[in-house]
Amino acid sequence: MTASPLFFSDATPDRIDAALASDGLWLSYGACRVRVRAEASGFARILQDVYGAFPFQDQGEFADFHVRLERGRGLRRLVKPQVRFSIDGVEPFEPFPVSNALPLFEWGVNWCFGQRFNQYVLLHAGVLGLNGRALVMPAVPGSGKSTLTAALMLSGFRLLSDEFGVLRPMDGRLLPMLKPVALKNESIEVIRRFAPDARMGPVFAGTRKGDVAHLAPNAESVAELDCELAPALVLFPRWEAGAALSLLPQAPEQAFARLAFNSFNYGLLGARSFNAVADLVERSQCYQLVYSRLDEALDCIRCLMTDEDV
Amino acid sequence: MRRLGDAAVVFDGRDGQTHVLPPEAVAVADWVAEFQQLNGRVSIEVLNARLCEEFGIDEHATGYRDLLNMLQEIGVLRA
Repeated sequence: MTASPLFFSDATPDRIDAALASDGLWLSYGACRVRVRAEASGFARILQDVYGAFPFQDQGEFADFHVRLERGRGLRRLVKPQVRFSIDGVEPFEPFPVSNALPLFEWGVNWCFGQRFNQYVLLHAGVLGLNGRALVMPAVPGSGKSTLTAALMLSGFRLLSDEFGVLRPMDGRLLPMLKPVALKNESIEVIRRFAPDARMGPVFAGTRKGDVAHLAPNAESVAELDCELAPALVLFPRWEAGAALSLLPQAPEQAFARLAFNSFNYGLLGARSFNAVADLVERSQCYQLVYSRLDEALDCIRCLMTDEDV
Repeated sequence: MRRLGDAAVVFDGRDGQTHVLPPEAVAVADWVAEFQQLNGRVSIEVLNARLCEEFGIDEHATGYRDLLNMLQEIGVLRA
């Protein structure tokens, strides 16, 4: 008989705290594994909120990144206490207020991944799955990508990633980089209204990206952390107040340019990323979607993913 | 060069730059490739003259000459 895996939601905050303070916790995101050690008060509880469906692992053999969250030094331990993020002794960000440990951790892991995982083409895109096929949603900040990504996950799509479209050049498949969805400003209320039962962490007010709250990945998405998907649809979403739903085919060369030139590491990988992005465009239908109503956008995307008439 | 529909994208390994060619530019590149297959390599001047003659365009108009120069610069055309 095999013991059932323990999930973050099952572990007590004391146990999470104890693991963070000693050998650390191993978090699997799909494409990479992170070992985190921390001494930030309250971090365990928040981690449990947004990683509730993830396996709780306080022992592990391998991690791609070994990161630490440590309290500020000197007076900063006492007066307006701070938290610092480091990987291999490098601190890529200025310290944050200790209450903002989660946003610092999330951005820190993104930084590590974006800086070091150059065996993959890292698209700036949300990725979701339905019926074993992937939807890739590249977008510039402010286009409503994270809101749409969150709503799709809460409507039965499998979430692979909100920030990184992890494209493997060797076979053109997309890997999960499954992290909590960082919702910003108005998007927080939009998703709360859309799914009042959705599991969300606290709102961190006044961060460098405005107010931020993290939506927890659901158990269905976490259960498929090891499953990659082939691409089927590339969709460039844009939220526009009051706009009627509009779906326009995107010329493949334009889709290529928008994917490649918004990638985190396209230039670094040369011909490998060139061919990988060209393959992705060739294998996918490409559209631009302008919307103002989430329900209409979701219906439209579901139809596209199930090959129904839109 | 990778064809994407009627357009194409080009990766220039010499400088790592990527270029997007709209369908019109791909059509010209195709015409040049076919012309050179039959006639061998010729200069940009000759290509421009023949292209303009073929499509009835003023030879002194700069559009095709610029396009041919650009195709040569990114390695799609060898003149």
